[in-house]
Amino acid sequence: MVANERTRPRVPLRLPTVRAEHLIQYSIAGLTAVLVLSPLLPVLYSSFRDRPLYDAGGVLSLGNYVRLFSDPAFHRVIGDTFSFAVLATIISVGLGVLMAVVIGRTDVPARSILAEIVLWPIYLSPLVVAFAWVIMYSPAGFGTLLAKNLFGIQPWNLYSIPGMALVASVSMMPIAYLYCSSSAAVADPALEDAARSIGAGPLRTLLTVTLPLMRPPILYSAVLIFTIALEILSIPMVLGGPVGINFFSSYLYNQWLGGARPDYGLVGAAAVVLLVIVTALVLVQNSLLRESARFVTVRGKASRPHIFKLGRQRWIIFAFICLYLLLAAILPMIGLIMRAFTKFLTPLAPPWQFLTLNNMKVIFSYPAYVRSITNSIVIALIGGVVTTLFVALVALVAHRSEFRFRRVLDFLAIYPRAMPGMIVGIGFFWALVMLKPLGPIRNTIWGLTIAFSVRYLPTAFGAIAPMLARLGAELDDAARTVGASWWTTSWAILLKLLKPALFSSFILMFIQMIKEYGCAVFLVAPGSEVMGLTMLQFWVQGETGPVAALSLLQVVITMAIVYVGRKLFKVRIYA
Amino acid sequence: MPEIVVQNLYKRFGDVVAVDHISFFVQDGEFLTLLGPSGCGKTTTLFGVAGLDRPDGGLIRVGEVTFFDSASGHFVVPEKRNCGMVFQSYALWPHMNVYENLAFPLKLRKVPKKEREERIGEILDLVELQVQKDRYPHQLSGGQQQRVALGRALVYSPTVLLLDEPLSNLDAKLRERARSWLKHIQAQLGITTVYVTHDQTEALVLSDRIAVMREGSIRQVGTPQEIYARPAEPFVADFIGTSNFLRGHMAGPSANGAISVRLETTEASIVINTDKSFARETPLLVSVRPEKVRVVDRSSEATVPEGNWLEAEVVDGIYVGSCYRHRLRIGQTLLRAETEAEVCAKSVWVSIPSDACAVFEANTAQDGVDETAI
Repeated sequence: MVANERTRPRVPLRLPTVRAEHLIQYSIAGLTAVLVLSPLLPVLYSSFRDRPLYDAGGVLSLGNYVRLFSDPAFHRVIGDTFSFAVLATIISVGLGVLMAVVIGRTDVPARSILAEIVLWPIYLSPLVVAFAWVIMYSPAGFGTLLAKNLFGIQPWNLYSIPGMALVASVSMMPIAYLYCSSSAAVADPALEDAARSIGAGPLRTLLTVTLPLMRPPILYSAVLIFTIALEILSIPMVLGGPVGINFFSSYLYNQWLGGARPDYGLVGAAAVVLLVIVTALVLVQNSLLRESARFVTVRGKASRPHIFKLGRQRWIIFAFICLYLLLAAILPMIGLIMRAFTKFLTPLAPPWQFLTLNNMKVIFSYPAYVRSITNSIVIALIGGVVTTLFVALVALVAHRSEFRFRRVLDFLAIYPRAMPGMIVGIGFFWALVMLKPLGPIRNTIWGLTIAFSVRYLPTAFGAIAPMLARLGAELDDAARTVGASWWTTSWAILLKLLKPALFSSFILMFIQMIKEYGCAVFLVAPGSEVMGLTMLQFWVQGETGPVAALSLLQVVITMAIVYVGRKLFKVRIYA
Repeated sequence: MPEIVVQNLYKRFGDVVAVDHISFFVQDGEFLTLLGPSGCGKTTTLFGVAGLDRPDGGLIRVGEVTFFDSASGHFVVPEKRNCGMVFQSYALWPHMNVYENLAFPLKLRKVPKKEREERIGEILDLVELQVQKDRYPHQLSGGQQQRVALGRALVYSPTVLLLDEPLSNLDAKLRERARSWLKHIQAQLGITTVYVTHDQTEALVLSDRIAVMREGSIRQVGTPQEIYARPAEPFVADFIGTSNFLRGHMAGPSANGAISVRLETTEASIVINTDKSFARETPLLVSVRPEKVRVVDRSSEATVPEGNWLEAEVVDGIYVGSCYRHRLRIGQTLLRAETEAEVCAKSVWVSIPSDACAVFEANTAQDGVDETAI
């Protein structure tokens, strides 16, 4: 029979004092605040100061803004940036919605394979996509020359705003596709059945019920893509450079690196203008997300959406999608690979005549190239691990503690969404100049790692917080009642259960950080080169071959980590 | 001595007062149930004792230790209260197997490995899960999970045991078995227990005493027998078991301290044994349990028998296995009656036994009792 429980003595607990927990929580919140605000405040301050922050005796004035807005070049920049962003958004969202509906909801052949291929560009750096397109479709590109030989005229001009919008859309279309297809996949088929039952045909149902129900993801991804288009650096640098078209980002880049004495005040003012616009757009995104509750079509009952029958037209649509994927993604990538292994790439002679390993040899013989690879990998690995762990702690404090300022912390953690990468870069440049104790990490890869981490704080938060929300609060409650402190509960229960989300976050961080170059522009020094920026700099110098080879290496590293993540950890890369 | 004292406990969420100054006392080794409909504040009260919800006012003391005292701002964090708690969803940690779930509280207490194994072994015997100790929660049935949760709450010899609807996720058959098993274990360990449920049968079967709660306050505390037989107000009569309610007025005192109530629905008056007294013409509500109502075919009894016999018509009847449930009409009021044999007649006499009724002032009972829903 059972021994009498009451004879068992109670064992006293020795627990950390509540003060120790507060210390942890305040440290995490304080560090987050410092990380997020230290790039923001210097940018704002420098825009109102009449001389660089390191020069003494400055006065606050609106002089920088006056100069910025009276600069005719800046007017052109604003006009070009917005026409590009609008056009890129329309193309990306249009294609994304089309793909989401066709692949998600019709009987087009090879749906699951198409669904996979459509997403590929999301893993590629927009910079690499731009290189690939130039190699294939620029006025001197392989494909363009081929077409010229066939038709006698140059049928397109890539170095134009529509051309740039098209290239940008290749990178951004998968975003619209992801949002729209996840909503299309969970839509309640009863809503469509209702339309069918009152006599609407399939096409009419699609147009009057299915598409309007997708309005929230369409709008949300449109605003998101528009925001990304406003701050994209690769497109104006690679495609606008040859013909002198500048966007916000390349304007900042040229003002900073172009002149002998950079006009820091002007850069600050332009950065603040961009910051204000992007912050407004992020606020719009948030209100759209709240609004979307009106369109909730997911019910507890599990159901599969209906598949619209396309009949014989499905082959035509299939051919169209294949053609798009071939022209937009596959051919440019093949061009990039060919360029990486040839001296020249021209349709006038077969490429094997120019085959060479020289481009690869060049990369491994220049220390700057080699360093950019090792630096990028070190930053992506360490930055990925550290950011993931830090964000996990932030999420635990913000969502699973009685910390007094947890709401503020929650806001701080996702605020960098409103900070374009270049602004994070400029801000950390100033922060590292001005905060003397941080001097030693200036111009090192650790400064870059911190900047990259801040830039992708919200991405990691987005990978971890939803899973945390799915862990019932009673799991913490149970641990607390059996005697675990908040800290013990956090690491022994919650962090262990968050493991899949932590792996996802790490893989995401790695992919983003190995691609990142925008915020490195202002922080890189000899010795701390990263892949993306090195490619950009060598590209501007006309070193196409080695850049193609380096791009290829970046793609291979990214694909490897994506593969590892998916096979080993069953990671969902996009959340 | 680990008795539980709760005084003037108060808790609000925004504008909603969840717990409105409630006080109760649980003796050492006693099994007290907080019973009430959802939203009555019973779980908030329990979480207050466990320390998982910080109350806005009042005092909570277990034995010599004050857990919470709003007067001095004293609040003991949950991990220092040494309460054992079983959650409605069991809250087993999914990344730990049964053994590890039980070991975690002991590891926190730095119990040496040997003693840890002994204690876990004893608890596994107690909850009959020796065979399943290497399984993970998702590999267990609902009943087994519930037993692991109980084992985990007991393994570190907590001062008190707190149970939050632990049986509500089990199917009916299993729940009945778990009930008697739980009662057995609690009696064996003699641990002071607070049990939260909305299931009145559970409360009646398990409890030494029941506290019936409604809208943040305790309406009646008593043994199951007291609560069932002498409900303090119509809500309690309605919530515990099933009751018929008949409206009437105080007609006057009757013999032996009984009173006479003139029913609204008929001309008739009935005599009720009660120790309450009312002024003449006070609006009253009389409650009577369906199983206490007796039904007789009127054609077999031509004359009115002695006692509270009323004329009624049978509306319909259903067979539920253990008895027949009939709906009867007395004037404009419907009355439920449970009988062993089916009543085939249309016109019947029904009896409302004088000492099986409870009587309340009607104006205190405006809400909470639905007389027409039969």
